[in-house]
Amino acid sequence: MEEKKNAFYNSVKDLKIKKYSNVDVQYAIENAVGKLFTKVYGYTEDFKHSNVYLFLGYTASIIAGAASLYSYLTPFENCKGILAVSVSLYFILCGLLTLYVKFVKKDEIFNGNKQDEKVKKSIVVSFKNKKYSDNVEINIELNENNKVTKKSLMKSYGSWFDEEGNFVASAFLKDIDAVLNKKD
Amino acid sequence: MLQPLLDNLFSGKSPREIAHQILNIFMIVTSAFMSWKALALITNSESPIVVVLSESMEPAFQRGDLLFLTLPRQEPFIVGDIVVYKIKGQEIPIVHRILKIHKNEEDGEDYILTKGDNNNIDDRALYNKDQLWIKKSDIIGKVKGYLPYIGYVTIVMSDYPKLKYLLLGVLTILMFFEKEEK
Repeated sequence: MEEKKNAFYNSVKDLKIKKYSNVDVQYAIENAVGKLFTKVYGYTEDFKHSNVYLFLGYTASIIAGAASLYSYLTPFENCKGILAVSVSLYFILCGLLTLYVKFVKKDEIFNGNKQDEKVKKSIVVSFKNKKYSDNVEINIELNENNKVTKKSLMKSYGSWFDEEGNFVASAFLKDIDAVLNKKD
Repeated sequence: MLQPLLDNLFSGKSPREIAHQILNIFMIVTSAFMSWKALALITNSESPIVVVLSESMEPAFQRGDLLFLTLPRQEPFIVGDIVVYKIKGQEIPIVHRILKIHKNEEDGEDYILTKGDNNNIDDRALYNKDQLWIKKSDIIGKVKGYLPYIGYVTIVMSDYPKLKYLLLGVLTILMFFEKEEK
């Protein structure tokens, strides 16, 4: 365990935020959660949300690129039809992307799986943070052989960063560990 | 020179994170472009927003005015309409008023003559050599509305191209460092 912890500490030792930057904090925590669950708890990250996002996004970009090239080479009068199709397709794909992030991914920041002897485990970690609030709600959904347990923790972002904005990995690990081992 | 820059921009990032970052930039660029194309399709005009570059339509329009164009399929052109047209082989579109229209009985096409309100003579001098009229197909759109002064930004950009590249460069670099708000 000590070795795994050190691997985690090492992987986030350069993690530093600009103070007062909300976005920075979110990115840092997201990064740390990924490192924590893969390095310490041995989950393999499941990139399903990222895959969908990249697939829809790059498909839309390719359509836009092709449409721009085509409309550059063809007079407007002759390319209206194809342009109408590609513009509609583009906005449909972007709409799907927005809906996917809003309704499927939601606040999830980490999805992972692992096989422990006979138990097949999967985990979903989501973060909720109200605007202008330093408090964050961490929800962990653990699925062991289709038995789902939910755990959650409400804490200030400030408890995981020091005064210079450095991420304090040991404090974070302690909090998450406590949540995971909490008896319902 | 490029390698250290790339290392700096993408330091410590996985290929997946880089793919996400590049995609964010693509989405900004393509959504602007596709919105422009959507506007072109809706207004049926190749270039639905143009900037006035000359004083030839004063006092109606001044240099730097932003004009909104449409080209409705059914609506005919009438004398007095202000239109934007582009002469074959010339790059810059011209905003002038329709002075005369006459229908050719043989081919059924409208032959149109234009003039700038502030010019002393009609536009035949601006047309190609031996061209007396413009046709419907030369017209990009009818002016339906305008906003004063805003177009000056683009006039300054086209007068000083270096400024344009500088602005583009700064914006691109900012996009790399800016993280997306969620």
